[in-house]
Amino acid sequence: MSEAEPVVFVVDDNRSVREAITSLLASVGLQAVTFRTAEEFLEAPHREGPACLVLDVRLPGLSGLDLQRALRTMAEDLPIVFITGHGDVPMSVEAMKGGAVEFLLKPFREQELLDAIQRALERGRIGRRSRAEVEELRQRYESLTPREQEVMTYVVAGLLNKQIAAMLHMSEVTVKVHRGRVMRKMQVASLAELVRAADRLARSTTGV
Amino acid sequence: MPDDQRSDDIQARRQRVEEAGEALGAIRRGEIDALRVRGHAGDLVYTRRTADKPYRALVEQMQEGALTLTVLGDILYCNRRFADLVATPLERVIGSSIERFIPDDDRAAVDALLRSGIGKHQGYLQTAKGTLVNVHLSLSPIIDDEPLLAVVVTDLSEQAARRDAELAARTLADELADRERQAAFEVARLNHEALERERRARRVILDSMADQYFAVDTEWRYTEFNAAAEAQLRALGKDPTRLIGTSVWEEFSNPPVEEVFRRVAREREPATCEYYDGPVGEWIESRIYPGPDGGITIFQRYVTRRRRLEDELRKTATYLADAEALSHTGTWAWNPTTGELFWSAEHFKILGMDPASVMPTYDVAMRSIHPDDRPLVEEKLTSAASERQTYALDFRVVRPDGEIRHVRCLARPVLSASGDIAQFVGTIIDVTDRVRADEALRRSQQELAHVTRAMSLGALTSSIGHDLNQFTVAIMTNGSACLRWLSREPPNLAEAIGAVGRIVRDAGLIGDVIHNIRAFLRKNDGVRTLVSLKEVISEVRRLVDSEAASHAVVINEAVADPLPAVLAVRVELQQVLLNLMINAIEAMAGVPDRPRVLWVRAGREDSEGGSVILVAVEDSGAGFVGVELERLFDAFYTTKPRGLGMGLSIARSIVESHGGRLWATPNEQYGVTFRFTLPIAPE
Repeated sequence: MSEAEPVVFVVDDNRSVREAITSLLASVGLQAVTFRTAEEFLEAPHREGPACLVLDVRLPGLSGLDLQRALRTMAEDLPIVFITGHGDVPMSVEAMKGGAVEFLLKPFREQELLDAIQRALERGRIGRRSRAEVEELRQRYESLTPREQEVMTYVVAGLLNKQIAAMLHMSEVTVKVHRGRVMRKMQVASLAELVRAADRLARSTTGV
Repeated sequence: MPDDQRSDDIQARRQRVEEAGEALGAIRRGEIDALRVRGHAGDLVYTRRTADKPYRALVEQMQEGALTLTVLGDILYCNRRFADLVATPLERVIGSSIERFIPDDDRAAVDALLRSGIGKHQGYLQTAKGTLVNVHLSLSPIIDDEPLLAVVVTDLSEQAARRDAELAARTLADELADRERQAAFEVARLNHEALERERRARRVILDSMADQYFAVDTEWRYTEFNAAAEAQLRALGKDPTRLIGTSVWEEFSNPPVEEVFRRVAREREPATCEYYDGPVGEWIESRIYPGPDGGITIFQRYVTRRRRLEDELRKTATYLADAEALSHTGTWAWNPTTGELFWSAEHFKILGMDPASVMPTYDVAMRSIHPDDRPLVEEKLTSAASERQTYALDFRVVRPDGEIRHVRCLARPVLSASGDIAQFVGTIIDVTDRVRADEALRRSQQELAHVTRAMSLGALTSSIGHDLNQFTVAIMTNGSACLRWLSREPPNLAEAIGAVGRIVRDAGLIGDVIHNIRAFLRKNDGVRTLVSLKEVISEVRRLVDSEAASHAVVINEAVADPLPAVLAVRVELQQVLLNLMINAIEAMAGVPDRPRVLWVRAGREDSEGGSVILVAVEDSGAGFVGVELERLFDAFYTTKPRGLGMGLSIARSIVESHGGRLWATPNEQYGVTFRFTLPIAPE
């Protein structure tokens, strides 16, 4: 599965910094899109595809942390690399809790920034892939009949066919038939695989 | 015994007899006072009882004859005069009897005299030549171990001869005296007229004297008055002619004066005294001389007026000296025509000179002035002379010990009736202490201003640090990018060059920031130059823009163009503006719900009082909440937790030292506007 070229968004109020980071990223083949303020970034047209955000904490108007919160509210899953001239511990803790990939103190070595950006892009990529797999599983799960979903729930919970037949008031043979269909539709070869798929589905719905 | 031996023996004995005779003679002549005789009973010492040389010397030198006799008339001693009188050698007289020299006619009287032991007799002595000498004998007893008689013999014939000679001499002397008297009379007669003339002249002089003259004799009686004295006595209701010969003590009844009179009379030395005469009601100065005839002469005058003037003068001089000393003010007067220069005591003191040893002259005065200031003073004197106006001048003087004092001189020319400059009169005031205090104050104000400048810059440390950090990040990042562009295969030179170009540009921006800070923190040299407020505003903006941005404050600028320059110390104006702008930014930091806008305005303000530059710094902050307006510009008044409270106080003193004004007013809606004025620099 091949992805589109990743984009690195840069929000910093200093033109020299923006220009320098743009050039640095270009030199490693990354495209940078820069903004002077958080507001400008939010107003820009939304863009799909692999991306990450290099964000200065101290900005005129909305701060970097404000922007991080706003993005989370909007359920935007955009990995953030914070860069700051005067970060302190509480600020970095807040940023990391908010899901930041990295919290870099200016001035930083360019390799640190590039590594952080790579990690951010990687996290974005993993996230996107994981989300795609869960989506696949969900479609398979939703192709099951209600009765098959019921049987799958008990199977995953570890009940024997005889117990399931008793609880659903059906014959043991009928349970076996449903079970075989669930395994086929969910495209799993073993009970263990089925349990893992059910687990991922469960976690994605609860948001954990 | 052989003949030779016998003749030797005779010779020796003869010699001894001669020796004994000589000794006896010597004893008789009184040349020997003591004699020691060696015999079978041992040594015997015989001492003359009259061994009294001074006494004997007197007796020897007497013009009268003198004898010492035993009561039997044996002569124990005689002087040479007696021996001469009786024409007998002294040694023969001594040891003989007085009777030998008494003629028969006188013998009974002399015997009686010897018996009575005391008395006088006039008679004759018989000399060895057989002649008679008329003498007077005076006999008196000498009290001693044994009774002796002392006899003094006076040669009457010689005395008589002398008397005759004296008589003749006296006759001659009388004649001579007579002649002399005649001559003296002639001289006196001739001198009389001259004396009379002299007496009259003396009288004229005495009478023309203003001083009163009294002559007094040894009995303290008036002998003479001059016209002035007579007039005074008459004024006291007395008749001067009647006072002659009467006692002085009625008019001179003052005990201390009497004492002086008596002292002059006693010691014959002139004296003066000054006293208050109660009855007359005047102060009198009296000079008393010993008079030619043992009395005294008195010259006196009334000095009440003089004394009063002296008193007033002394008081005035004292007040003046006090005033001068208190105010460190010296006075002087200079006559440019005669060159005469007067300095008061305080003037000398200010110059560190001793009035006793320095004679003030123009040259002395000029030399006392600091060489650098001399041309200034001379020029001022010249212009004051031609303009005839009062002038004031500050200059330095150098004391003899090298100490430099600052003085302020105020002077004016005094014009004569003809309109020429008669003299310059003036004062000099020692203002050294004030000048030094001013200097010290100015220095400490500058230092304080410097400190507060550094502190206000401290408020910007974080934003300045941020700016520098940003440029550092940009430079490092550009550098890394450049390396990466170069290490690509093939190297991308265009991108590399672009990165280096940005590095150069950003490094330059760092330099600008540092330069701004340095310029701001530069020690104030106090030099006023022509300053453009537009420049000052943009210099301060470079320092505060970042701070403003970090507080989301927008700075707007409205500066009139063209704007006249002001004469000012550049860093001081920067400090005022920086202070006001930081205050404005901080005032808006807590404003959540409205635009944070800072306006800086500068323009020309024309009014009836003249034209000034008006600068306004306006914020949209919280305004004067919790601010004591009247204390706003006080030193150490602050509403900020970490503020020193010097900013506005110093800002105001800076503006005022430039001849301007600084004040604050609340805005109509919200926020505050600080305004200050500065005089427009002269063309």
